[in-house]
Amino acid sequence: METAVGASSQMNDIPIIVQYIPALLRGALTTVEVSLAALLLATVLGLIVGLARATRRPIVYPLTVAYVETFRSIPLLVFLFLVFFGIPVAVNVDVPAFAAAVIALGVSGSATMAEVIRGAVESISGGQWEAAQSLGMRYPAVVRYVVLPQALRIALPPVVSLYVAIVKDSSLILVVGVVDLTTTAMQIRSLTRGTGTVPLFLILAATYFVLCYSISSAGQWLERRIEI
Amino acid sequence: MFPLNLRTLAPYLPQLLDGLWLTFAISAVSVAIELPLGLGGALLRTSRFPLARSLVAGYVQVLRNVPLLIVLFALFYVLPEFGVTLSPFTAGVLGLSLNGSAYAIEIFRGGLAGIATGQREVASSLGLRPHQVFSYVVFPQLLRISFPALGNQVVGTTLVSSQAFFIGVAELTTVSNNIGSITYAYFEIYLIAGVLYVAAAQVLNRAWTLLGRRLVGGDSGRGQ
Repeated sequence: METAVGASSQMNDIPIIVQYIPALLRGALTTVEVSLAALLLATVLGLIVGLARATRRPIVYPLTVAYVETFRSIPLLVFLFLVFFGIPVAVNVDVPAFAAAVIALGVSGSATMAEVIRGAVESISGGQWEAAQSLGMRYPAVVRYVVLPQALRIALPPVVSLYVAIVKDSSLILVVGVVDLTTTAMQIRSLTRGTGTVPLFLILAATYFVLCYSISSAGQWLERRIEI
Repeated sequence: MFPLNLRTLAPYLPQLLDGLWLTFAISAVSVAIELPLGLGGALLRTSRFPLARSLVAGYVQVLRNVPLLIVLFALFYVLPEFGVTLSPFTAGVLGLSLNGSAYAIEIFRGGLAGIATGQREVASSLGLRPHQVFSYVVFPQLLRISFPALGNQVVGTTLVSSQAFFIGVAELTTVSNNIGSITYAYFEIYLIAGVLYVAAAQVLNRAWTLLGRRLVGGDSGRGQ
């Protein structure tokens, strides 16, 4: 009987992997949950910080610069460790794994989001501000009716790519013990003592690819609908 | 939390610096590989060969939609199934380079699009051979246009080098984790690691901007 090395002996293990598909789906669901929560957090925080950053108010501006520079330059992995291992040791508060993952992903993403929003807002010509204000609109109204609609349209492509990045970065949360897609795949790998490695990784890579590509495609569809 | 328990960490400073050095090493090698790869890929992507264009497009799509962690795991855990065993450092460099090259291809592709196509024709009609057209006309402009984005990419690679932790490279994040588990001073050590990475990003930024002024002149700082 032929015993070729490597690949062909993996093909017999596809049936074995099949029994783990429910677990992988649960893992994928967790990935989606974490990503979604982090995405929302990043969007909300990013909008707040980004708008504050764009207005250049004297006290707020340096704070937002510090916020953005710090959270853009700290690697997500280190931030995850800091939130999950560091904070409990420092202030004696237990941080649940899911919360740590969402906080780290969300705050990290919000820094990029803030820059995107700032760039989009600043790209709207100053003349619009003056025109709106000369029509008697107060600052919040200008933001709400004139600036934000245009800024959001401009910001859409980089925001979509940020969302894709969040989904990809969610693969790191295995260090805090959240059982997401990657964690599940690695667990299955050790359960099957490494025999199912190749099909497992193919499935793992393919799932992320499908997830991320769907988000990008949805973004492109949305861009066409809003006619950028 | 306060006072910060820094004294317990003092004996581990050499280890920490070793980790920092390895972070620098793995990032530098990866950047040295991914930038030329990116340039080559971008040229293929915009070449007149449909096969080359599709292959590069597919390559970029795969690497942009699959997490770096998965790429690292594939290189470190899957390749041995095919008889190829890489050291953690090599696998780390390869993973970072492949991942980074996809973004570099997109950066250079965007830069190429910013160069008026007529220039190639004009250069050819002046008698310049294709490789001369590239060296004297296209590349200098490409470098100037892409320079800030490339700087971002370099910093990005340095920051994600932290993920080499997962395949056992003894870089800054791994070392911090080790020190943390020995001393239990998790908050302090990860804070220090964070500060070091932020500082490294700032230094790289400045250095890239200065390099930009020397190489391409004018305002080629990393856009903020």
